[in-house]
Amino acid sequence: MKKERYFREELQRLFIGLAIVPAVSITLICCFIFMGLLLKGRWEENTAQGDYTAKQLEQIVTTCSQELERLESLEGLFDGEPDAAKRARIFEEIYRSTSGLEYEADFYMLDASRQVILTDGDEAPDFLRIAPGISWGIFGSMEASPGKTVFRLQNGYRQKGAALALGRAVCAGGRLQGYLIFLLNDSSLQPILEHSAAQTVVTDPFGWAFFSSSSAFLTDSHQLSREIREGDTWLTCNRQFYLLSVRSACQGNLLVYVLSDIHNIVISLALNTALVITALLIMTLWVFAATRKVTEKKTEDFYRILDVMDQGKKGNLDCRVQVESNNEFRTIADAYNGMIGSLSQQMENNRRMAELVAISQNRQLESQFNPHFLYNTLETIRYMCRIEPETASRMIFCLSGLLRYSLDSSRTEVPLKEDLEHLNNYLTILKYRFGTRLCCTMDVEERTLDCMTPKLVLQPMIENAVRYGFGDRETLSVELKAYIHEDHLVMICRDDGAGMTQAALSELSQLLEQKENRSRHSGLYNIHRRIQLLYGHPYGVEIRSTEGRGTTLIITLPARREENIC
Amino acid sequence: MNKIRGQKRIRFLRLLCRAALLTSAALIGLGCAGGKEQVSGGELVIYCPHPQDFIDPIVSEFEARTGISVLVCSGGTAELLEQVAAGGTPPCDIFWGGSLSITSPRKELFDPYVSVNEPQIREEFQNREGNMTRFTDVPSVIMINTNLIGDIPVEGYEDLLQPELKGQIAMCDPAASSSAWEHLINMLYAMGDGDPEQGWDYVERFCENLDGKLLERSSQVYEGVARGQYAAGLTFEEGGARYAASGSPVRLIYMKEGVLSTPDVVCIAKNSAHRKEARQFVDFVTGYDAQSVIAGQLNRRSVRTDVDEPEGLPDKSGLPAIQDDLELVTARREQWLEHFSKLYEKGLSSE
Repeated sequence: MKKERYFREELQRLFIGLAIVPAVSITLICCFIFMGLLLKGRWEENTAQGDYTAKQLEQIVTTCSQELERLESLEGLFDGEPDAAKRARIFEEIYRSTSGLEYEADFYMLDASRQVILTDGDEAPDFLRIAPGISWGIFGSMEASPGKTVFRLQNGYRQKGAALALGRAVCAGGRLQGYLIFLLNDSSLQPILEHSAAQTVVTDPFGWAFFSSSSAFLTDSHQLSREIREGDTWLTCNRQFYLLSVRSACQGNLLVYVLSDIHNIVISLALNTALVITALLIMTLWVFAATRKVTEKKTEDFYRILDVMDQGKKGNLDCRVQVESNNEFRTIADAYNGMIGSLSQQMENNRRMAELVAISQNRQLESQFNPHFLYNTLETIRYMCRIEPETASRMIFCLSGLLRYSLDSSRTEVPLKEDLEHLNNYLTILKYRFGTRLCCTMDVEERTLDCMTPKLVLQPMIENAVRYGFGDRETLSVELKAYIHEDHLVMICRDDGAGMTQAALSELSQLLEQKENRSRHSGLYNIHRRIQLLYGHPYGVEIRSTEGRGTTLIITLPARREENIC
Repeated sequence: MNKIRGQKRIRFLRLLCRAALLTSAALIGLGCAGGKEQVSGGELVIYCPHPQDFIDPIVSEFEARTGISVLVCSGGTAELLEQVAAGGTPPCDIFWGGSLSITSPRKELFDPYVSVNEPQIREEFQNREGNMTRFTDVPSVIMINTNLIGDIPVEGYEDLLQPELKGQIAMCDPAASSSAWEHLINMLYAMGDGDPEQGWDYVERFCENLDGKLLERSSQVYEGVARGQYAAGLTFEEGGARYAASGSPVRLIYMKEGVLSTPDVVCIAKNSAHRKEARQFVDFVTGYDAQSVIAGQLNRRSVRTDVDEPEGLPDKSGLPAIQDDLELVTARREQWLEHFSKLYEKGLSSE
């Protein structure tokens, strides 16, 4: 499942990576470049207006001060009440001065008691009507530095009537003679504001406005609002966005604030960005949905193949890939189906072959009868023929029964009681051979008699006991037991004979685990091998022995009854 | 809620704006060398209940003369005093305005300073406390709108009880405004014939004639009368004199029962961060130039001996002046305000 998601995600990522991300980034970058260009345009306009305003102001102030200096140098300016000729002369000069100015300026000439002697303007404004002796406004500045042109913003706090006053206190021989003053009214400087679409505010260093394009930036006191005075280039004022540039003019006595409205640019930038982001979201969702469908469809066959492969890995080779489409997956599926088909065919063949091999091996093993036994028995019979022909005849009967039983290849498994019957034949023969030297007792549980055992499983146990048990001994007793323990049929053959050395025992144990027998212990080996061929690993023969104390053989088989087999 | 959302939006847009700037600057190489040096923090902060038109000429002249930047915080006297006590932002350097009777109970808020002009200050306006420099002399007046008053004679407090004036009188809450507080004291003394406790009868009847109208700020009184919202208003001299001087249809009535004239003050707040500048300011507003302009152009009476009475205002010697007991007034402030408020409530409920 995880793999599946991985592949599909990879596909989706491919879609997003190759389609959406470049589209969105290019759109955004274009958007930003566009906005940047717009902003740059505004900024240039803004700074141009700032430079223009500052330049105009500088120019006016410079011209006015020059004119003031020139007027001051006129002879006899303050010598009493001017007569008509003198007035004409002075006015001639004034008009010449003011006509040189681009903007309208009013000229006032005041005597030492601050009374207007001459003017080309209206009635003197209130700030020129300060009683003598009071150092206030432009008078304060003029008196502080006589003989120099000073300027001062007057009535900056008024909604209307702010004026830039340029003045000069005229002194002769250390005595104040009068004042020469130019007044630039805010209204006369309106043309500067109309020069550009950017909003311009000119203030003194404390924020009192001289003139302004819009009163929206000013407080009730006609002061430039604090947020603009303290604002940086990017400014929010009255919930509008502005670009702000500030310039100082006239040696820092005036400040020019230029504000460009960038609200629309910012809003459209925000809208564009929001649109792009929304588009991105929609596209992402769409791509997720679409690619899921497409990849599900396109990778359906792929995952079907994968699923069958998983099944094959688990051992189920019967599944076949069903591919409906007619593309590369079809080829893969067909190839896989063919491969799996031939593989399971091959495995079936192998299984059959192994079965056949087991059967034939079993046959071969069970048919082996110890030739020593035959020789010994026949030798005994030969003697018996002379001594007791009756016994010999019975022995031959037993032997022939035994041989017939062993040669009967129709069955490989028999009930225990049948094997016991034939064991009796064998024991009878042994009785004749050994007489009282051999004592054999049996203790077989009733319910074990029906259990199926491999044919001739008991005989090699007794044979082994007789063969190795006597050693140097005169007598040997063998005890045979059979019982059922936890669904296992356990058969034990215990003798009190010579036993085996530790080395012999381990050698024998090792021998039993080998696939092929090359030793003389063929009887036990054969039983062990047959049991393993028939019933598998945990079953078989176990040998326990102590030297001088006897040997115990234990055979463990599955406890299966006759009816269970069929 | 909307405002917050609006601010958020603005912040967001601002962010976008900055992002745009960064991008464009990076892409185009736009060198925005704008901006300017910050001029904050060094300002002299003045808490001031004076009318804006009175403040601006003086402050702008002070700034131009000294180069010290000033930030004015306007408001009612009581409200501003509370802010000084509570340590409002920006912290107060100068408390400029508010009558002595309302500021002197809070004199612990102010730093001792005796201005360089103290020798020229009139005897009765000397800074006896050491931290309460007198600024101007402010008589209480009744301001009437000559267009609205018609032929109703108004010569003093008694005339304000005429039923024709019911609901036509502009009065500010004495708890909020120092000019209204001055009028309450003035009423009590004038109508109680020197014993303020005898004046409450008048105050009760006066409250009834207010018809449930009590204003929040003293500026609403003179503006209200000048604009014709009220026929008469209880205010301070300068508040009405400005309108009279500028030709508005208003006239000042000096109450025939007696006019109380209390100086207002200019004080330096305790722990002022700009003590030197604050002292300069106190010296400036009590100086000859400022006091002359205040008397000559801004219709207030100077506290200096060398400055004449304002043109267009009657000589103070001609006024029916009465005196109050500053200590008593100071001590009873809370009590009297409560009493007034009760009478006012009663006037409300009797309707």
